[in-house]
Amino acid sequence: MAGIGDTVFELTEWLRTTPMVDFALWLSAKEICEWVQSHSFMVPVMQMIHIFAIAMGFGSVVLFNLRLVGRSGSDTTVLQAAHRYLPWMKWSIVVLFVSGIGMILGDPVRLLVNPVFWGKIILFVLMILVSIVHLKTVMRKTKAVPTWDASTGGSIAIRTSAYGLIILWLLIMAGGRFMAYAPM
Amino acid sequence: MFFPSLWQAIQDSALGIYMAESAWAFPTFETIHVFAIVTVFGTIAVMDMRMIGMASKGRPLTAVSKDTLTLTWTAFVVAAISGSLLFTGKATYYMVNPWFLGKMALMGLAGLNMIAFHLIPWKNVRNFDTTPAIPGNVKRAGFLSLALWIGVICCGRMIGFTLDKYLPF
Repeated sequence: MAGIGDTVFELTEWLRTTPMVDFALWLSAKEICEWVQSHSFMVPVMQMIHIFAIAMGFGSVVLFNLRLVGRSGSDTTVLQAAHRYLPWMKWSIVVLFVSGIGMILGDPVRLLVNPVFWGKIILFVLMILVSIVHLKTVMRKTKAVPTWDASTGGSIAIRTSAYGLIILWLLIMAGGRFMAYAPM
Repeated sequence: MFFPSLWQAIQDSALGIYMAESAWAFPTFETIHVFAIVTVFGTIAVMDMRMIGMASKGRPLTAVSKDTLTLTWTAFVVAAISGSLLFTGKATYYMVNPWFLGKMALMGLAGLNMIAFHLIPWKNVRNFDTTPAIPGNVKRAGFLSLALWIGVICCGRMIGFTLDKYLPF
């Protein structure tokens, strides 16, 4: 555990030598940041919206992917499950992005000069890329064979990415919580 | 504060001291708590939206319930255990925090709403399991559940901002 703490500390030291510091300081002097910071309800409200978006997005990711691997929703086809949960996944990511920007404006230096924050962002981008490939593959297969599902379709790659996406979401959430404890 | 000596004893216990002093314990259990509450809310919302008639309309109520119930309850148990551990480190502070007390009260109401729903409309679920028309009391229970859980999460988030604003002594 101490090793992780040391690594985070070293990465923070390194981030401090990059132009990100100047950018964060420039951003924090902007009127919009001052407005967010001068309204004390803004950050908690953004965080609440962020948590609800995580709940709706993660709930949809879990239920859709469990359906895909045959562990849930056996009364529906994969295509029906996709129609139910995909819009919630997409819109939750949009809300997460917007409320996330709002939270950055509330404290640019603490977040942008924070290696845990960047770790989370890298995982977030990775999650979106994996989701796009995963969902495109699933939709192509269900359109070819409407009754297809990964539990009987035998695709190890799809089953792996189904579970992998759930784990990615959890890691992103962990990053979100741990970045509040990273050294300044 | 009710039973101040009890909360003080919890806070002064070996577990309470560990939770308060360890650099990793609080963030770790807090993270587990977040995993659990988003799963509780995310799955409850799927069921509530079916009850209200907002989503999953083509599926039987019992099928949506079967999908979500195990996940909701497992996550709720994890949330309760991780939440209790978080509580031990500063028990006396939580017990005077209005957001914490409000969160507990709202969870109590959410529990009562769920019990009432299972005792009354759920008994006749066969009558409306697959029909497009949903009885008013089912819709109300779903709406109330959503509203109460939104309240629980909002109060929960506010605790972190106010824990040092309300002092036990």
